[in-house]
Amino acid sequence: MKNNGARLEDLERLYRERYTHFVQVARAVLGYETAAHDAVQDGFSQAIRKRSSFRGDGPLEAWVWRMVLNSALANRRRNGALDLFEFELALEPSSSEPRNEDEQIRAWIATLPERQRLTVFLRYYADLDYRAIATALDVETGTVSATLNAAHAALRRSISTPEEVSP
Amino acid sequence: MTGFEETIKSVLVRTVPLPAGVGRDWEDVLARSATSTKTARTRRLVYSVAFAAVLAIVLATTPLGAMIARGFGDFSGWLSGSTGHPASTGEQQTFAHEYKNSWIRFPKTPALRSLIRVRRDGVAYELFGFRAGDAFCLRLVASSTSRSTYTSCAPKSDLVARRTPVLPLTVDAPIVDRVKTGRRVFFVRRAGVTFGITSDGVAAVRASAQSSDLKGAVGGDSFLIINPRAASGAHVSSIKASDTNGDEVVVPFTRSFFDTPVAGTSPTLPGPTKAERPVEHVRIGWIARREPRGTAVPPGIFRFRKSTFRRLLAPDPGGVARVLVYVDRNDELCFGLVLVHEASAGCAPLGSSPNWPYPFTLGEVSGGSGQYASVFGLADDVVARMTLFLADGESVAVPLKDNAFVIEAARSKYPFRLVAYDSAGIIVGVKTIQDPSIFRATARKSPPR
Repeated sequence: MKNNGARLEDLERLYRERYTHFVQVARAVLGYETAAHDAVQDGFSQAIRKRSSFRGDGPLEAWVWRMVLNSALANRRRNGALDLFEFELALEPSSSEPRNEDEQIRAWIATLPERQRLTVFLRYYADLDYRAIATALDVETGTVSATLNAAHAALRRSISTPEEVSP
Repeated sequence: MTGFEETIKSVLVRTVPLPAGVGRDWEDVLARSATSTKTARTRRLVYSVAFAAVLAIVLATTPLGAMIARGFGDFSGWLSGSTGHPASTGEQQTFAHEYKNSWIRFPKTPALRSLIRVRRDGVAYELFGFRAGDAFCLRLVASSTSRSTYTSCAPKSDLVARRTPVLPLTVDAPIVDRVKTGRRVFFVRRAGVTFGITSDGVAAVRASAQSSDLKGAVGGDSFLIINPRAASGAHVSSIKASDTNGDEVVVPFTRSFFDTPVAGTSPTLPGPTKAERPVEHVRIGWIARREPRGTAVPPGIFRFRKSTFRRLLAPDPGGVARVLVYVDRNDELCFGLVLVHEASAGCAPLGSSPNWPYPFTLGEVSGGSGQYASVFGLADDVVARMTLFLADGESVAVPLKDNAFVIEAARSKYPFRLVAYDSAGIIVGVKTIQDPSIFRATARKSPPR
């Protein structure tokens, strides 16, 4: 169904319900929560300004994700890269006994190309389905599934696990 | 979500936990949107000026670049296989071992040739070249506290076309050190590496990364640039090549992330824009009949769940890419791409979806530091041929066989336009493809006309 713009109240509801998830992903991109909050605020403000251009080709949330990620990436570009390589150093230890598997998965994420990293974040932090991720990143659904499978394959090569990955 | 995916998710959440949400402030969002509206008009003017400047540069440099390119010689060293020196026995054996385990079974392991060896800041870099089918490939090995390898290939057609004296294959790929502090292990980026193929007459290749001028090593008809400032976010923003007379040409490439204007890219994409007789489904008779076309899928190539039918197709027998097709347990048609060392696939909604507007499925694999994209998919029975139109004005026939297609194209030539024709030459599908690996930031927007 095609829409003629997004309603302000829908954007506000989305903001109130999903703010923490937006900040979580933005922090994964930017490293710091204050910068992440700023990116979310700017992303939603852009969504408000451009809400008349929302056509309903995909979910509203995916459309807003695009704005928020734009804002986060622009922020990172302006202020110098603080990607996951350095990001790891900025984190507080989540446990006094870090697990080896954690290190491997973090290292795997750190070496992913930008697009794959964003795809992983949207899949596992934001719980978006393939179609929504495709809308958020402005790619084909097939590209999302292929990207995630490639990422999983890369991880499988670095750690061994007997379980299956759903296509 | 499978257990494997749950593991990934739990590690991600442990790394960046869900915040408490105390900063939630909708009034602040509204205030920012009001401020942004006031500045939007000024920004549009800036875009107009910037766009005019970029267009002027393209118009000024493109004919000049073509003229200079003639003075840079050609890629005969690569095409004749005489470039560089034979690799050491150890490297050839390591390579052969990896190649033996690759998905694509060539009759024999290609001969690896050593092209450039340099040492910088405690890291030893060696660049190798080899040919696989119709592809010309470079393989970089960087050794420090850990060993990193990158392999990238260019299709033969790009060397033969000789539109530029340098073909970058990888830009700013990260070289990572493993650093252990107490019980924790960190992966720290040491440098970025950029490498590619050069024509015979190239004497020097330089790059800029913010204010740094990076001089590349040139040898064996290839170049290698090490960017130690990549660790602090200074990424390669321009590449230039010069011949022995000092004549210089700008080399088009795509940055490893974010967007940037690319020299030589036309803002107007050639080729038809609309289908004359749109076909809006993907129906493939031989798959419905379960005909064993192509080849069987080698064991271990992909972790299928339950599939009732699976085949491996080679639209371009000389290329290194294969198209995987299978029917899953829900009787959905799935497709994917198989490259030398990796396979990826997924099940996208196909002809059964009422909103599917093309006579082909489409996937793309590109991104990161690699400079080539793979465009692949399955076409409906009605499709007799396909053409890919590129932003630099070039158009190439897309290899299509058994309804599968795959083509490699330089990302610096995005956006692409994929056009499908039926047997009478009537256009049955048109799809414009943007670079999926570049997240289109706000500045990417087209200027007002």
